[in-house]
Amino acid sequence: MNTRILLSVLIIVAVVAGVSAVTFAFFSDSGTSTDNVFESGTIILKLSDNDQFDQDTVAATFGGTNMVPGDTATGTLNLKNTGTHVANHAEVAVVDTDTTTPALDKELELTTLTYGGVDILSQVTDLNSNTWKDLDDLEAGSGLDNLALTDLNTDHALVMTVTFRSDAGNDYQGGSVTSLWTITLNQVASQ
Amino acid sequence: MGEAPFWCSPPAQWVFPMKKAFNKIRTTLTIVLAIMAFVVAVIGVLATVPKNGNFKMLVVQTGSMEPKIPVGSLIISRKAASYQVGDIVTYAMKNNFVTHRIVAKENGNYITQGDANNEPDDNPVAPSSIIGKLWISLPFVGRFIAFVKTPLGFSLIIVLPSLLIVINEILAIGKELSKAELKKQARQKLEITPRRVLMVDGVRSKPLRKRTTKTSGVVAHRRKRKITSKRALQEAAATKKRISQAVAMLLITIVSLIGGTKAYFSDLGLSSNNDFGVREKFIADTLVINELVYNSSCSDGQIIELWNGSSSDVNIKNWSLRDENNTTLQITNSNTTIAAGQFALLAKSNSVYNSSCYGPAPSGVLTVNMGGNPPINTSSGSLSLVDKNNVVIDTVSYGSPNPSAAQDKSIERKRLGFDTATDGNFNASDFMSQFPATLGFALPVPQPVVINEFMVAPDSGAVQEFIELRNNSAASVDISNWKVFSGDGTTLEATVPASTTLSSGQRYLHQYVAKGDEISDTNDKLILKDASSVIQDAFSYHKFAPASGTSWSRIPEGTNTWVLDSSETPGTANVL
Repeated sequence: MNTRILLSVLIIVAVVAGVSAVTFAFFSDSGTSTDNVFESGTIILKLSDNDQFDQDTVAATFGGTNMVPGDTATGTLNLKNTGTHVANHAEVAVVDTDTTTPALDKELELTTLTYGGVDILSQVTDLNSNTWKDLDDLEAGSGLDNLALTDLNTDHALVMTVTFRSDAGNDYQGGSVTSLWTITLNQVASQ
Repeated sequence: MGEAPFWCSPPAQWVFPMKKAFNKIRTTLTIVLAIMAFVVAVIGVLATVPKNGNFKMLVVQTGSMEPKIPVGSLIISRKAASYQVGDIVTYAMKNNFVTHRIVAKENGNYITQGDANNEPDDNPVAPSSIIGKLWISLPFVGRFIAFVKTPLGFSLIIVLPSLLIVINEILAIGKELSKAELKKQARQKLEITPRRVLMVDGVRSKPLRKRTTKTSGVVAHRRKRKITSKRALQEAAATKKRISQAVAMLLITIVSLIGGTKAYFSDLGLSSNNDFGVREKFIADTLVINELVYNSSCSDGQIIELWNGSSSDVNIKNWSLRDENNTTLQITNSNTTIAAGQFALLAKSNSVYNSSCYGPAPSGVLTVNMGGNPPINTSSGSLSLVDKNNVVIDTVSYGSPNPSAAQDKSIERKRLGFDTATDGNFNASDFMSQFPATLGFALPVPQPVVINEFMVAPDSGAVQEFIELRNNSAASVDISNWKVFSGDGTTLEATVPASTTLSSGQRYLHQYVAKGDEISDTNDKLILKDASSVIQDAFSYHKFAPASGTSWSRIPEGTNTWVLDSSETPGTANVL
């Protein structure tokens, strides 16, 4: 065969094969190419409670004083994205500092826990096996995750009611626990 | 005789303009592709040189590293022997790559953060997850690659040029075939009319002679060599151009596979000082009215239970009770000491404590005979305990809307000495209704193991008297040598064998073998004590004797609700 014709055939085969292979790799997974989005902007988490508004840090959102067995305490923490880029979800990690022995946070039962009006108490597992879900379980587990926050400048209420167990022993008199909540607002679901 | 294919022979008037336009396009395309090929080749070579580990080329898709790395940059990260605080590194996270700056080291892992983020990333990065350290950052190049990866970009940058190359090559093939055909025709004509002038590749040549002079033969050969040399150079250049185009096309195609790195945005907020504080003292550290039977079916049956929650003995001589109308009754005018932690039962009696109504006081409990009717209404009212100096020590309000109890039942503090409103104050939530009354003692809070069901008056059926215990707690409880007493708590009725442990929800059944009156059918009390003789549960049935063939059962189990059950269930779950 004429070498020039052979060269042309080889070029055609190489180009067609290369483009075909890449095309297949591109579109075989999802049918469309989606991994090409550039994202810029800001994600800014602002918190509010009953007396502080749109702050990076709020204090004393949850809690109670002079609690006795059977008492309840309810608090509301509002989460908002005031940035320019939509987020995906928020997650919460809790760290307790307990001054009481035995630990008081095990006697602070989470009786209600909602986000945006939806019950999320199922996210907490009774890890200490005391048959109820408490502040200790919230700390020991993976916290709260996938709290949807996909809009801008809109408050999303995280509401928690804690009950000091009515059968808590006398050992807790004068005790206290301080809880630090770290809320992370994430851009994508995989975070 | 064959002819050239039709697509190789456009009309003569089209040939020149079409060829000119096509050449322009081809030249432009060649230049663009050559530049691209050079850039890609440089990057590709850099990315594959096995120097100090591997490289990773990524397109920056998010702006959390701005302004250092703008969105749309192409970055190359190179593996390093170690990474320091301040380094910008690419690491694998789930199914993505993240490029952030190391801001700290912690327990052998790295804490990373996007320059544009306020807070570090959530999870520490293990050294093994790090792909490499930022080596080269080329702004905007990534945008081209990303554009190539869009359907439009892919069509314009990959598919269309590839198509042109393929068409060009097809045309080249056609041209070659045409030339071959013309040559073949020329050879055939030479054999017939050797003097005929031929047109070969547009160059007019003299007719070849079969025989020629030496001189004229040299000229002809020189001319032929000249023609051949010029044509060969042109063809070689064209071939190189075509190969370059194809290679560039393939390289661009491969570059379009470069992935992205997503330096995701995140932001943190804190809610701090969420304090839950317990009252310093919710168990009174003084004398309190701990339980009250204000509505009794017995004559002189109203009983006030005091508990000394202080750490000292208290002499209640000349102390008094005062009702809501300030009607006062002196408790006693003689020295009467309630020891620290001791119970005292106050009742009207002319002589001794009346045990016929609610049974004898448990051993160790002080009984005080007041000698007169206490100022207690049978439906509702208020009762204050006043010391000899007229200081109100404790106050209890009872009956609706305050804590109430039916006849022969009591109101009792939710736990021993539970008092959130001391002195003359009262908090209704400190009290609860109690059935049966626990006069002279208090039950622990919580109660891990309880008397769950008992039968003291069997009928003629097969079931004997029995006492059933149940573990209401979530954990296992060792009940070895626990005992059940009757009367004042000293008459032994049953002992749990050694090495007996109840798991959560498990029952222990003590069933009497011989049919007989093992436990009093009426006017008695069962008291469960643990191995340390601490009362764990009790039931007084002086006023609540079960009918023959019925048992007292907690229904539902785990609660303090007692139900008379005619279908007793010894050893099994209590159901109505």
